[in-house]
Parts: sequence; structure tokens; C-alpha cells
Amino acid sequence: MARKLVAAAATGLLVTAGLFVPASTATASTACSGSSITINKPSGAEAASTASGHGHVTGNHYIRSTTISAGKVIYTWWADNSGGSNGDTWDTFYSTKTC
Amino acid sequence: MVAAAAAVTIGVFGACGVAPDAESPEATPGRLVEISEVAREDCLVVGPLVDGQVTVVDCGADDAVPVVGLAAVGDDAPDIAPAAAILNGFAQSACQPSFDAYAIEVDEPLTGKNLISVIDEATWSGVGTTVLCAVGEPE
Repeated sequence: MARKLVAAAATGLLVTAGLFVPASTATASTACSGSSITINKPSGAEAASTASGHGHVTGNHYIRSTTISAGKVIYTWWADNSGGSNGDTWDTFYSTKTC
Repeated sequence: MVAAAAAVTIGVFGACGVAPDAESPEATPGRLVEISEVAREDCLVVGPLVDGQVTVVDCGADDAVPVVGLAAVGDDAPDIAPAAAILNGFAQSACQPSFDAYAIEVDEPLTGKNLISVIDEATWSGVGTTVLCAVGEPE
């Protein structure tokens, strides 16, 4: 039982960190950069491919587009809607990050 | 709605045609070029504009991304440059036809690639403001 409680607490900590830590950390939902990850695996709606993003307990986010403007770069992050009982579904917009 | 912004495609460019310098690929310095003067065979590096100019590099350089089109923001663009998130929407909507054409040209989906739009809000002129479109590989 104690082991289960510890595991649950650890999971909760990850989720909490994913929601509230500064956006510049590796587990943030948006950021000013990403690392190489595989998205849409298994394939379904879209073919599996490599993208720049990061993973979460609940799935991946990746940079779909970048807008360069005066003094800033705006990254548009999408959610990799893969996995679950219905396999890969179409990815959707998640958020933007101005850097 | 930003997503509904009509995009006016000025031109669609092919993939970068500049051959890398086999002897000194890292020796080619970037040069600053006005957005509207970027040529179809040019390649860019991703980074903030410098005095409204993009950094054009040899296509063989590290992190070089090919220009795939030049577009203009649609008829619903405001006269004054909008906030960053809205600006982002106008720029991406304007470039979407160029991205779609490039995907057909290279015969592969662009999922996972970095769809890049370059727009200078400092010289925003409402409808017709030029947007540069490029496609980069994921980092």
C-alpha cells in the first residue's frame, strides 16, 4: 500500500509540474524550443514522423509552425493526438509561445 | 476569424537550388535581406528579424531552410499591426497555400516539419503586407 501511495504521489507531482512550472522547462506545455521526438505513432490520421517538441505523461506536444517577426519568434504548438483506445486521431492546435 | 484570412499567393518557389560549398560549407556568412527582396533560390536561418531583414545563407549551411513562397496577408487584415497571436494567424494563413503547394511538389506530407512565416510588423501595411514562407526540418 505504501508503495502505491508513493507511486501515486510521484505521478501527481509530474502532472502538477507539467501544469505549473515555467514554460522554459522540459516538461512545459509550450516552450521556445523542442527536442527531436516521434509523433503520430502509431500512425492513423497522420503518418508517423519526426518533429521538434517534447513528451508528457499524457502525450506529446510539438512545434508545427513558426512566425518570425520584429524582435520575436512565435511558435505554434500542436498536440499529438496519438494513442488511446481509438489510435491516432488528427492533431490539433494547442497554444502559441512568443519568444 | 484569423484562420479565415484570405491568403493571396504571390508566388510559389521550388526547393532551394543553391548547391552547398563542398570545400567550406561553414564559411559562408549570412547576409541581411529585406523580406520582399528574398529570391526564390534563397535559404534562411530561423531567428528574429534584424532591422526588418532576414538572414539569408547558403543553402548548404547548417540550419538553412528553403524559401517556398512569398505571400500577402488577406483582405480582412487590420490597418494597424495586431497583437502577436493574431499576427501569427495572419502570417500562417497567408503562407498556407505555399506550404500546400510545396507538399505537392516534394510529394510528401509536411507533418512534423516547421512551417515558417516571416513578417515584419514594423512595416505592417494592412492588406497586402508581404509574408515570406519557408519550410524547416525539425530540430
